Amino acid sequence: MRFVLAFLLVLLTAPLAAQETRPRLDIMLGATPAQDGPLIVTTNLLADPHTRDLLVNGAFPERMHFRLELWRKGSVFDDLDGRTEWDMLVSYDPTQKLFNVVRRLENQFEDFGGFPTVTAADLQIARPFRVPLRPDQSGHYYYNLIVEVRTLTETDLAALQQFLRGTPQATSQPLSWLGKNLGRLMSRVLGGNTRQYAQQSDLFGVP
Amino acid sequence: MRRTLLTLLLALPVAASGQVSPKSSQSLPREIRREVVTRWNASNTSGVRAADKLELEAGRDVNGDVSVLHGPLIIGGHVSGNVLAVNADVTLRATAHIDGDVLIVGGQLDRSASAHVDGSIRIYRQPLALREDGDKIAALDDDIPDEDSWWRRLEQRTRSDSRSEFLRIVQAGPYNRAEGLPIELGPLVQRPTPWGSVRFNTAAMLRTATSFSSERSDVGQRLRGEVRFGHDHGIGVGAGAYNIVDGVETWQLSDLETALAAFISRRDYRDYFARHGASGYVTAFGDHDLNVSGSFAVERWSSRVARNPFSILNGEHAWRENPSMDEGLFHIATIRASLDTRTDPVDPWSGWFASADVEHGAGTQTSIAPTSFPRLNPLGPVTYTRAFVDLRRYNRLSPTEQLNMRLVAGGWVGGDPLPLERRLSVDGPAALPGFDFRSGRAGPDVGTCNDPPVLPSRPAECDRILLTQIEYRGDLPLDLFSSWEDWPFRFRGAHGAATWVLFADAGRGWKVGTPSDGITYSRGALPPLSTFRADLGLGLDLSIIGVYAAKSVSTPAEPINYFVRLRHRF
Repeated sequence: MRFVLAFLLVLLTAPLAAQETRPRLDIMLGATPAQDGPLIVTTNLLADPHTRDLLVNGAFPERMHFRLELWRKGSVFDDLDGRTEWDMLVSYDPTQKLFNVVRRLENQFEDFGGFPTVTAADLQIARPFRVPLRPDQSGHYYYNLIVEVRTLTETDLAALQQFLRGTPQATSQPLSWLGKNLGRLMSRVLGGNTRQYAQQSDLFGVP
Repeated sequence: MRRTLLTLLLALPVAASGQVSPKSSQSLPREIRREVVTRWNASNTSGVRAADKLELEAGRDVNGDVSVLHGPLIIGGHVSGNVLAVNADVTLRATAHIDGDVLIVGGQLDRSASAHVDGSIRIYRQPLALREDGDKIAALDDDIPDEDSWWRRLEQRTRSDSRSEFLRIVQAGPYNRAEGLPIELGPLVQRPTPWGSVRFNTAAMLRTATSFSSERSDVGQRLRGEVRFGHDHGIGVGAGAYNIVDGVETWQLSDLETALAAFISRRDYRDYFARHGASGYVTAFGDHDLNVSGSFAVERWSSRVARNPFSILNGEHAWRENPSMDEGLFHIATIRASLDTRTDPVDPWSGWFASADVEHGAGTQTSIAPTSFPRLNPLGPVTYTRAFVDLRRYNRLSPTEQLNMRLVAGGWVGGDPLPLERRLSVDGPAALPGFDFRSGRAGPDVGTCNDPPVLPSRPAECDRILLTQIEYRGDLPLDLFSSWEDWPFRFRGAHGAATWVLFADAGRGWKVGTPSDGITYSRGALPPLSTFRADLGLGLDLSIIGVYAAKSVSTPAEPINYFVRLRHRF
């Protein structure tokens, strides 16, 4: 009986535990969305254990590509009114034992320097970032945010080494990792080192 | 008490790790230190300069550069030159306009969305360790070895695509019953140049389902070279020689779906033939919206028999026979164009995708493959023209719903009847999933244009096809897999983990000639819509894997088909 209770407790708390490290995207609209772009907050993008392993032990940089879309509600179909894309790069310097973070948005480049832990680097990435994408005419709008987190590999041979170590490359290889469970097999086949997340804002109006 | 203290001690590192400031010992890259020092020391001769807080109010016009040390710097007016902030924060108000560049070291930028900066913005959070000497400064850590910006090296490596690989091993095509797994093995050289790029690779094609005996053409080859003039847009010229196995119809299921179906369930949804020859092409590339290319090839086509590669399931069953193909030497000229305005090619929510090609072939047929219909193809010289169009429109109805449509049409346009390698079908999970792929039915088959008695291999025999597909997708507010870290569900939607799909398809194929049997129609005629196959279906798309059920509505006796697709249906 105690074993059953313990098992149920683990089963119930596992999702809660996973929630704490689950990536989260937030699009925060200001009081005047037509004047200021939204604030983007993304947390736990580096929380994935595989991502951290590749970053720390493999020294493969992580690239986070952000795409923020502004959609306008139409009478029948919604239209894409604008789009802004930017990147954040995280790289581990083993000689200085620092995780370096930079961001590039169009003509704006920002070097945040080095951080002692992955968690600290993740917190830097999580800081609110205002994106200059806003509606320029009246109507009803919403934002759509897509974030792609990807481990950067340099050569096919390096990717093959990853593959043999159990960390797949970002191309389709349908014959990977037989004998593992179905979830891990399909991850290798379909996902590789790329993780993608999406979030939408609430609908807002511009008078 | 001890437990409480222990808990507190354990909590301290967690709290401390929340601090975000860069490690103070990390210095700026040398080139930045030098640039900052040079610019600051030269700034006292022009522009505006300040060693503490400086505010340029709205309406103020500065002719020249603005430089601030220690700051902060607040700009609401117009600066015709560059802005330099050393160990200072910068605020750009809504009315700020800077004609030049902005460089901030040791500070942050707070920028109104309406502020204009015509040049670049560079921000380095690391402060500059400096020594003030009157009105000049000197960097304290100039003797620290140069740390080449790691991100610059990385960007150059990833952007330039420059690479040389002595031994490149890649999968050369989908797993299939004619080859097993084709593997390309060989060197690759790829180099950017000031005017474009050059790429060259040569490879042996190894096929796992063969004996590796070159006498049986079990080992293929591929040699390719391309020169591109222009980086983001321009012209590319390429040529190659090859001895490969190719699919007859590749527009239906993707390579990955075809491979997985074959490897897992021993169902191969394509037919194959061998291509041995050489080709040259010219392509105009650029804005990913529009691409145009033209090619000319000289190829010898021949048949490939099905081998017996491994599959996980159904190993006791034989593979579907790979049909014999027409054989001969062909000269093929092709023009292709594509337009892609989709918001995202992987998960499109709006936009157009259009692809069209026109192929003109001329050659000598040395062997005619058997088909269910009597063949009118002559041995000897043949010419043919074929066109193919795939037109898709994606429409977003709301933040969580979309309506997508597709039209596929193609086939014979003129000349002699098409070789079997160029014929078409509308059959299977990618076209009409309510009808089982290549299954036996009474009477003429409008999906494959096979007429009884059909061949065991059931090749695609249609001269023309027409297919329309429509689907309605909506987010399903369920969050099923948040704790499954390794589940293939890596695309997490805004409102949930799944999308429901309602779809309908209608289409058929036909032959061109003297009307008969409900299969053959005259060259200018379209078969009656009542003869089209149609199905309805619904499914659950889990962002990477979708499970669906489809039921024929034009042939009620057809059973419900259940199938799996990867990502979107189209």
